Amino acid sequence: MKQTLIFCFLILFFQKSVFSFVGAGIYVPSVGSWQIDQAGGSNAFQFNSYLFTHHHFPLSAEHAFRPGLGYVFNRNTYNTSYTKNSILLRYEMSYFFDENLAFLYGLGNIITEIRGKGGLQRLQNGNSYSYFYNPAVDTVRSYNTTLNLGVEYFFVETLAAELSLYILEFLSKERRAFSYSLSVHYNFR
Amino acid sequence: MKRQIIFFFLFSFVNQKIFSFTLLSPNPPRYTTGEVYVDFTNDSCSQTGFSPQYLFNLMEESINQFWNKVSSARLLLLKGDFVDVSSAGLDPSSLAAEARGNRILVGCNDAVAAFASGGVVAVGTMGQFDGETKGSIIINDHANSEFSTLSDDKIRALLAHELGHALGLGHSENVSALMYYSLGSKIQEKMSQDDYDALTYLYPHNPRLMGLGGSCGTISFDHSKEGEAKWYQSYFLLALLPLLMALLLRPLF
Ligand SMILES: [Zn+2]
Repeated sequence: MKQTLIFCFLILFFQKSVFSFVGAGIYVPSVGSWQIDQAGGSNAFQFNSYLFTHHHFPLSAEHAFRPGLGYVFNRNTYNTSYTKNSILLRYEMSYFFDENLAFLYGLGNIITEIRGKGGLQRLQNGNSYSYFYNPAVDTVRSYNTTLNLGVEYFFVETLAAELSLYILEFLSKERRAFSYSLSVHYNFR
Repeated sequence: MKRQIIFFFLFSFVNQKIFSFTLLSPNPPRYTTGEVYVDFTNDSCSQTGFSPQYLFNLMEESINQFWNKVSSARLLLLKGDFVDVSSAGLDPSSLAAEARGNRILVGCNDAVAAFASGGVVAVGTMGQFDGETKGSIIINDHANSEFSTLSDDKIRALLAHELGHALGLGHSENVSALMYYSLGSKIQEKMSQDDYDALTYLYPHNPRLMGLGGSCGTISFDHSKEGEAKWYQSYFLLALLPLLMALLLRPLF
């Protein structure tokens, strides 16, 4: 393990044409999985701000290793029992069709952080009211592996837009879920 | 240009999300097996208008339609067996005590006080009995029961709601949630985001398996350690370390 890490470190360290991106956008989790109203409608779109950085390590003329790190602020409307944020780790390759358009593919991790607020809520229960407990004040993290696919379009050398799809539980027919992000990024060389 | 775009993306979101799941106790006991079976008593369920076999099949459909869909949670519910236990005269806690360890037991009776009004069509609970986590659901089999008026769709949603209690969840104030106190006239075909988050909170994916291990009945998870798992315990994350170091140190050379 240690040797592998040192090897990776050396390879990446001596790359000359490496450059970095920072970006922002929106992240839409689990499209179509969640009910959002009383008529049985489900979620197609949701605004969660998404910040990320990724790095570009050219491997050949067309191919590059493109690892990235993202953070999603899962915002909510009011009076909550918990807060939620997600960390995205992306281990992707990019394949350039031409100067402007690249196809992205690889694996990733989504780490879902749920932080309880503690305390009680008085809610209706059958014909009367009962007290229920909010989750405790600590953070629980759930770890998912994702299959990632995306496209990236460069308007100019320094500015690009990206659409990425993250497939959670891609090996399970029952639990498979699709999340996506739309973002723009700026690269500083 | 860049600043404007970033500003736009950061501050122009509209939200209609309510994160509001609750728990039956401050730290409900967890089922320690990755798979939790749902068993049925030998009750006749005659006032419900359905045979026990029919209700058991609806339960299996309900499990697959609702709780087994949560991609960020490791718990898997499975249809169990008919067991030679009667729920006659028992309240939900007493029935849960009769369940086998790490299992949920479902029965029908008219003994629960709230059943006399008819509108409360089922109740569910869970707890620790003899050191093992057990859950129960009792369907209203009182002569006044309105259970017989429910459609199959409603019954599946209702059973899933009671399963939520048998997993340790309380109600949510989010009307779209499965765990809202009443199904009323709403169509409940899926769970809401806070139902998903609730199961994720109770049964998060292990950082070693990263959601790829599936749910295996032979693996016993120690839930007390689960929530304490640290991000750096992941092998996947370790791969990122050299990259970060390289980027941090690059300006020096
Ligand atoms: Zn309830």
